[in-house]
Amino acid sequence: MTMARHAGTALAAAVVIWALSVWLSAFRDYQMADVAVYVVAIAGLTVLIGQSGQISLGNGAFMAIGAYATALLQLHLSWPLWALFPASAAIAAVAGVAVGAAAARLRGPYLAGATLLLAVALPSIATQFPGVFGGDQGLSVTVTTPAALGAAFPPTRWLAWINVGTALIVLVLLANLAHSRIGRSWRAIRDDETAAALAGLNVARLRILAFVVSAACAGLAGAMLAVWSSQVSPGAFTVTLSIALLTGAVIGGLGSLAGALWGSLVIVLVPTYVTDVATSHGLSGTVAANIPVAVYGVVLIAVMLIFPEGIQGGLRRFWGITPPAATTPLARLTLRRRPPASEHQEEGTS
Amino acid sequence: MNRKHRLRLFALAAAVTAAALVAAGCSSSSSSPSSGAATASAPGITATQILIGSHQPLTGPAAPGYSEIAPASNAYFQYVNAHGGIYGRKIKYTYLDDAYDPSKTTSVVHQLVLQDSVYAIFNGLGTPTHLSVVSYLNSSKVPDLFVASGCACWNNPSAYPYTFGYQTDYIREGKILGSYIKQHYAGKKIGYFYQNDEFGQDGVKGLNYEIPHSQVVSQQSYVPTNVNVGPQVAALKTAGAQVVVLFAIPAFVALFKLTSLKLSYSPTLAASNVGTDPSTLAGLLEAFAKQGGATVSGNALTQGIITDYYLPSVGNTGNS
Repeated sequence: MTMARHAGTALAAAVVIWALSVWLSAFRDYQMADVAVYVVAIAGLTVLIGQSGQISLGNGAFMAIGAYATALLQLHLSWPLWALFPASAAIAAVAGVAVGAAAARLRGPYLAGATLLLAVALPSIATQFPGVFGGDQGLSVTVTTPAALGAAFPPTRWLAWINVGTALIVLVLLANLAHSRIGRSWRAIRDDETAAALAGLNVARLRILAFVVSAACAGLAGAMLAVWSSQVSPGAFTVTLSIALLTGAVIGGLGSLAGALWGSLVIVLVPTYVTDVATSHGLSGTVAANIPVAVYGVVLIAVMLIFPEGIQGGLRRFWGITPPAATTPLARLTLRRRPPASEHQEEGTS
Repeated sequence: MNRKHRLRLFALAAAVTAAALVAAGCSSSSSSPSSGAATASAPGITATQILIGSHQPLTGPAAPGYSEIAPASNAYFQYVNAHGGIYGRKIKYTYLDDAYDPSKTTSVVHQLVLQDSVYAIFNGLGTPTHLSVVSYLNSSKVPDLFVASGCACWNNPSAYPYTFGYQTDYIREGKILGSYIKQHYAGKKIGYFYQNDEFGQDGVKGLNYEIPHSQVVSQQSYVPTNVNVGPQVAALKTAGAQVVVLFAIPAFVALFKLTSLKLSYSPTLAASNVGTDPSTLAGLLEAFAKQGGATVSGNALTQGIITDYYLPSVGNTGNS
């Protein structure tokens, strides 16, 4: 039932986005494809944080794994696009198993630190082995628009279709996962590990599973990014990216898949918009280049002050909707091992 | 030493572009040759304006020394505009920051082409950066003029008919520097310090054509994102290199010079023109030394560096 509802919503969204992609300019299509990349990465992260109560500052590294997997599989084995996406997600998932196994023993700030290390260290591997990974210059990825669409079909619209389509599939799968037994188990261990363990849940395995799901999403997002920018280079996967993903998840509203969309829109559109405004007001290029970072910071502060539960939380409060059981408001998300006892009851009633 | 050499270089490139744009203006008016100013025939060209764009390192590791190039080109375009423009069309130059990061280059160039609808990309700076957009620009049929890079990759009219380089390519430049070193430093121990991408690697290829392999005692490379060149300088010193050839951007020539001073190592330096504009380099040496709490004379430190140029310097009136 839930599956049908989610699939229906996704189909409706697909129709709206198809219409938008035809109606909007080529550059907006290009941005739409970029937003879809972030939606997938942030949705994976928001599931990890909001549902299983673990944090990761290293999902940018999983994106790098997925992106390089795409580039290398295309370069050496000439795999087609439809095979590259699942393969990249699978490869990142395997990396997620390794990291998740270690992460299952870590809590709160220690987990954050360990995953941060991954984000810092991994991209530099590409510069260490330029023969395989192409150094700072990276590797190129080619996407060809299917000939069936005609020669005049804008390539950016095809990019938007690929990426948005993938993002919608991911969102449906994640929404179902959150409503499944696994999602309920994640929330149980998030709220009280001891109680969950006493109820017969395998806490370590569930925590690792959440990590693997999040890594697979990041890997897939990496593959989408590689296709979108038609290249892979270490500059795209700095610590800043991992932090941006976390920022997007928090701005959007932790644990909420709709929040992943809001967060992605802020991350992608704010810097471009601000650069446009700055250059069109005749500011010198050097000043215009630095302003987006400053404005981005101001937007973050403003959003956190006005919507402490993220944009999705703010919207819910505005419309007076109580959050569905599958999501968690920021106030309940904690990096502490045990949240206050009073908060458990809600899960029982949901 | 003459100042503003580099800026002159780009002003020249800008002048040639203006000429190319005149040609574009002419071709668009070919249907009505008598009227001069004609209707628009390409994206970015209107009856009153020619819009061109560029990706430039305004922030990031390559910004010191390079962030001033686009404003210098723009100054020349303003000069052309103030003198009537090109058949009444004013040149508008929009340059966006890519921080010398190939992944940012793709997105800013898409923005310029798709959103701003520029007629051409002019003087897009950097080998690794521009390589990430060259196939996109060609498949979108956007003229890609005067790439600010001497990579041999731009000289490929069959694959990239819209791309025009203008610098002496790095392989040839490597041969020129290498041949000078072979003649003047026979028997000395030679070391290389190069940027680990097509720019530095092409330079090394050229050097290797000329300099006997037995003379080269150490080859060290750097990546622009890591500003700690201590290990490379120490390795060259340990290998006893008496002459070091640098294929490096200005910031890394300055870092190399300052780091070698710190390690009391003073080999003869020979460097690609990419990294040796005297005023840029002197300024960087002083700025970096100041960050490290020291005071140096940039001009004094640039003395004795061997380099090559393919354009005369600003004060040189010998050719006029």
